[in-house]
Amino acid sequence: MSEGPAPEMDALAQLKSGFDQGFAAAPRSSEARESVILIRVAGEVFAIRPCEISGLVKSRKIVPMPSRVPELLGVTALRGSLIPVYDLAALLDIPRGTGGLSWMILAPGDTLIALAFDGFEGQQVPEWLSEQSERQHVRQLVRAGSTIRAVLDVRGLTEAIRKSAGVKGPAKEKEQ
Amino acid sequence: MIRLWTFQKKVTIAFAVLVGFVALTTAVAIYALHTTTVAKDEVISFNAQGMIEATRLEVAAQKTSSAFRGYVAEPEERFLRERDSALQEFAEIVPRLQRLIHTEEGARDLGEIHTVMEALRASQDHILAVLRSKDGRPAALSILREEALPLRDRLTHSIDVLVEGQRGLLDAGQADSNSKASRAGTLLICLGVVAVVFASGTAILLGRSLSKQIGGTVQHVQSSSAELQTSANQQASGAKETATAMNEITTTVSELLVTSRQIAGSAQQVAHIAEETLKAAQAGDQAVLQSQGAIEGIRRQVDTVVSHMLNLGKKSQQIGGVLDIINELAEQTNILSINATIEAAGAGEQGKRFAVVGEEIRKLADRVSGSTKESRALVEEIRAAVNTTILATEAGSKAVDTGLLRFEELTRGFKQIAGMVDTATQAAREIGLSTKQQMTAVEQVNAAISSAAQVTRETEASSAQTLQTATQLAQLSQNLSRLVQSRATA
Repeated sequence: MSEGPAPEMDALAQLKSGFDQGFAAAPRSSEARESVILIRVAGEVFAIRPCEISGLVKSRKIVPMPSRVPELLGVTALRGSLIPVYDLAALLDIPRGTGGLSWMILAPGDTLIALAFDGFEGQQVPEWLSEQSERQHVRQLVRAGSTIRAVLDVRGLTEAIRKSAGVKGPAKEKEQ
Repeated sequence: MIRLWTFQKKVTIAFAVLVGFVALTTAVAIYALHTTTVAKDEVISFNAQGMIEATRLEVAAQKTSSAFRGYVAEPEERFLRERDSALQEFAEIVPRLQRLIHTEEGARDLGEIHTVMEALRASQDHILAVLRSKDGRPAALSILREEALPLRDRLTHSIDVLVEGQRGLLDAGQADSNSKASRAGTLLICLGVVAVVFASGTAILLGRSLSKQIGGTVQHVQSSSAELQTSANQQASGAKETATAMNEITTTVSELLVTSRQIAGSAQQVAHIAEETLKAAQAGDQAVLQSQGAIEGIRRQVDTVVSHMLNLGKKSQQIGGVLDIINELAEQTNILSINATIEAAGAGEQGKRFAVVGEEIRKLADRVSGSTKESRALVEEIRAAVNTTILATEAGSKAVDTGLLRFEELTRGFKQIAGMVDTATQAAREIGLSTKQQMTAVEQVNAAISSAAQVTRETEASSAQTLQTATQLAQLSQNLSRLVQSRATA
């Protein structure tokens, strides 16, 4: 009784092949190959351009602090410094559900700001749509898989936070 | 009460009463005869003898007087001897009369006679003395006239009185004897009349009673004869039916005998089959014991399988832990790749090549994560399968335990079956033996029934004889009834 190669072996071969081809193929255009980070905020799905953030980390202990800014959840320790953590759902005026805040993205700047949200769904190269969203802090729309997601304007959010926190002057940012 | 007496008793009592009457009559007659005889004897012994002795006394007195007068007339000695002889006779008669006389008058008269006789003797002796003297004849005659003759008359008178008295006593004794004889005759006549009346009444009553009793008995005998005749008819018909039934019973018993022989054969076959069954049951018992050993082995194997499955479950959990680590590593790698991408994006054009590396690492991490998820799913399936297998194995172990119990019960059941089959074998043998005995008994019953059939036929013949006898008895009772009725009518 002759049998073909096991499916695991096929997957391993494809994995090897794809890995090798990834390095063998010519680099694609920046627009075509720009991927987005897929997240879920209070049950809604969004996308984030990697160039607009400084990092993606798992949420860790958040120490609450008294503040007049309701979106401020507290501070957390990251890479040897204290970073303020804001509720991304509150910033987007989305009523927060019962889900926890498992992930944080780090907004770039002189002072890092962490934005906490529910879930991280991966990274994917989306289809960029021409339609624009009228929602605040949202730039474009992309199609990732079967869902259409709004691409968050992390710089706009960061600016709004700094304004609400009373920080003078725009932050020194890197233009993409 | 008397109606309940038997005929023999009545006749016996009647004859006894009649015999009593005869005996009484005889006793009365004997008594009367004795009384009459005694009276006559008394009359003859006393009164007549007294009369005779008184007469003899008178004769003696007359002889004395005659002899004395003869001597006075002719003084011869022979007159004196006659006188002395008469006196001697007189003296002998007086004591006899004293013994025969019981009355006071007689005794007084006899005393008077004795006194007068003594006076007369003395007077005669004086006269004789005077007469023997010289010239004493006139004086003697004078004394004779004056003294002796009155005494002689007085003596004669006293003797006459005595004789008359004795004659009166003799007449009275005769009258008394006649009276007693007459009373005895009257009593005998009365007893005879009573006996005749009683005998007649008894004869009439016995006749009526016997007629009545015999008539009733004859009627009873007649009705009983009729009933006996009817019963004899029924008995004859019953005897015929019994004879028929006996024939059927004989046939049935013969069939029963054949059936008993068949049963005996079947019982032997059953005993043989039971012995074979006993062997099969013993073989089954051995097979069950072997199966029980095999089940014990299965149970040990199942325990081993359960142990291995539990170990496999633990290993699966460990694999799950490793997968968690791998997944965590993949996730961290993914995060690292994303952060590398982010860093590459921040590095601008310089970071593109690094971005490619990061992208590939991210893909690799995604694939690892996917493989890890698949592995986790597989491990979960394995764990679920292991759990299911453990549950199934435990169920199998329980089933094996239950099977063991069942096998033990089966073993006990086979032992019971073997015991029962052994008992059944013995029972079959006993049945065979009993059936043989039954067959023998049935043969004896058959012989007995044949004898009973013969007896029934004889009974049938006897019933006919009984019927004939009952008919004759009925005719006899009718004849007797006619006789009794005609006698009663007569």
